[in-house]
Amino acid sequence: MNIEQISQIIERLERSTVDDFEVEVDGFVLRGHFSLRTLPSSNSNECSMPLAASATKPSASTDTTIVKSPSMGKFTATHPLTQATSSLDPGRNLVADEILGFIISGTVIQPILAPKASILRQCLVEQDQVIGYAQPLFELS
Amino acid sequence: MFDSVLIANRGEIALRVVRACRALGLTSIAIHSEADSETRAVSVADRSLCIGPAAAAKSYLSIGHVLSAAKLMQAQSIHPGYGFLSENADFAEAVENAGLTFIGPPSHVIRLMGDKVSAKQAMQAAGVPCVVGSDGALSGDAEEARAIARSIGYPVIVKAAGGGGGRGMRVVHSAADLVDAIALTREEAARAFGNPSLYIEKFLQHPRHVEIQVLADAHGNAVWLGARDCSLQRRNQKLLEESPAIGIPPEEIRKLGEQCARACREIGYRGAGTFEFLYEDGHFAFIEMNTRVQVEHPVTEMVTGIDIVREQIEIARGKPLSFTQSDVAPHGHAIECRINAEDPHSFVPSPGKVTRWIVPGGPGIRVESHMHDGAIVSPHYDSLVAKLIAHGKTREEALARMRAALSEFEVEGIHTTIALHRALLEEPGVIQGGFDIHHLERCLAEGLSPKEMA
Repeated sequence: MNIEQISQIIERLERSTVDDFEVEVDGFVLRGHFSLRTLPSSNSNECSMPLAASATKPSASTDTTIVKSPSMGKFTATHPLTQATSSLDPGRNLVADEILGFIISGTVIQPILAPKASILRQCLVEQDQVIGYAQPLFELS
Repeated sequence: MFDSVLIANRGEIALRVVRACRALGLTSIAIHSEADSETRAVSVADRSLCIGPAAAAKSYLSIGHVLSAAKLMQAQSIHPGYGFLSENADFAEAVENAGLTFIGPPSHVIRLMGDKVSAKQAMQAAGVPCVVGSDGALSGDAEEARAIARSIGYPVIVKAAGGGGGRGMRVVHSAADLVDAIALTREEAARAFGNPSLYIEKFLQHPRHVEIQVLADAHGNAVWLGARDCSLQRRNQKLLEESPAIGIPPEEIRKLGEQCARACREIGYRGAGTFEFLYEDGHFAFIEMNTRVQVEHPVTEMVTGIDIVREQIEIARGKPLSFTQSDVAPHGHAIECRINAEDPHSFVPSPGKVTRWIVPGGPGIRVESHMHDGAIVSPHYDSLVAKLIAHGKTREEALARMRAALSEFEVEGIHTTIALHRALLEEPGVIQGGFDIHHLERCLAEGLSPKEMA
């Protein structure tokens, strides 16, 4: 599988509704995950939906949002390839869909996104910590 | 030799394995679904990790998720428990290929015994008695199938090679129904097991279900640990098991046990396993082998004093069995009642929050359960909430202890089958013993009613 073939596969899958994929060609396996999907809309620049993280808003608290891990893996604030690092300082203002960190599981890197414009209250995990599915990662308000 | 065990299961068996790890000084790692985050095995294990949502397909049945968890937690071995992936040869092979130890037989042996046609052929070659039937899988030729059934004699049973545990089979009483039955079963087998192969056997009408527990190590040692009678069943699901199997000459059991141990050596078996037989008119007939630890293993542990899960783990660590066949000296009688979270009248599952959980005790009583006050019985998994085991010097003493234990057992918040067991333990056929696999269904049809406590 060469880079051209990989580009073609990704281009086709980008137009589908597939979130996770695994393609095998001649014994070479390509796995991937689309963390951002554009919902069908008259204006495709709107309504982007973060799929990499789930966010819950406990009913007991009116202004706290807990961002949970979408899968098990290892948490990192630094992208393993680009080395871009998210600041996890409490009190920082976040914009919607801002990357807070990544969960690495095997060859899959999943970004953790802020579900809305908010303030980062607390990071609940540490760099390189093993994270379980649905484990609380961040507290936002 | 590994010193950490990832437990790819839940409920009481996960807790049982955690306890065995603790006894051996090994690190236990409980993996669990989101629905099981608060369960007992997760809280008492040395480490734990949530691997997915409640749906078993995305947690306990996901080979990828289990292996990812093993890598993340740096586990060196995987104990599959029973159910879920425990008899999945692809899973065992994936564990082996990942460089981890699968606590169970080699994957090729699971594959051999998972296909009922190849399993039967292997057992015939090892001299284990089998039911009269087709010589291998059916070819698809209707006339050939009719000839085989005619030579066996009706009624016959058409079985799926990939089936087991009572699934994928159809009884045929006359030649007129045979071809349709084969077509239907083949279609169901292809859909349910991914394997359309079928075979035919003589249908035994009033058999008992008797099984032999075995343990085999990687050094060529294989032993049998007596027989269990698991004939009290509803829709092929066991409700009560006991050991020894009464009314069968011990010499016959010994002969069968030795044949099973020899078969283990011949197929290269390793770990704990069970050979299941039907017993009718003084003859045993092999039905299948379970290549894992079974729900009812405590019955054998109580009469032999051998910790089967501990031995299973030690075998996987490469150690030889800690005892020989001559050391196996069963004593007394043990009975196990499976307590399910089900309505005892309708058998409808009864998930919910347990608001009261008081277990019985006293001499000869053992309870294996992951339940406690406030525990949640999840609607996502099987309904087994406890195994109540009673041991006595005699069967009568074991029955008496079980009756007392069942009267002490208090559960609120969910329905359980405790009241059904109370009634069964007073039923004349159960008290006498030696009943066939249809006994419970007959009792229910005749109006046996669960016995609620005042």
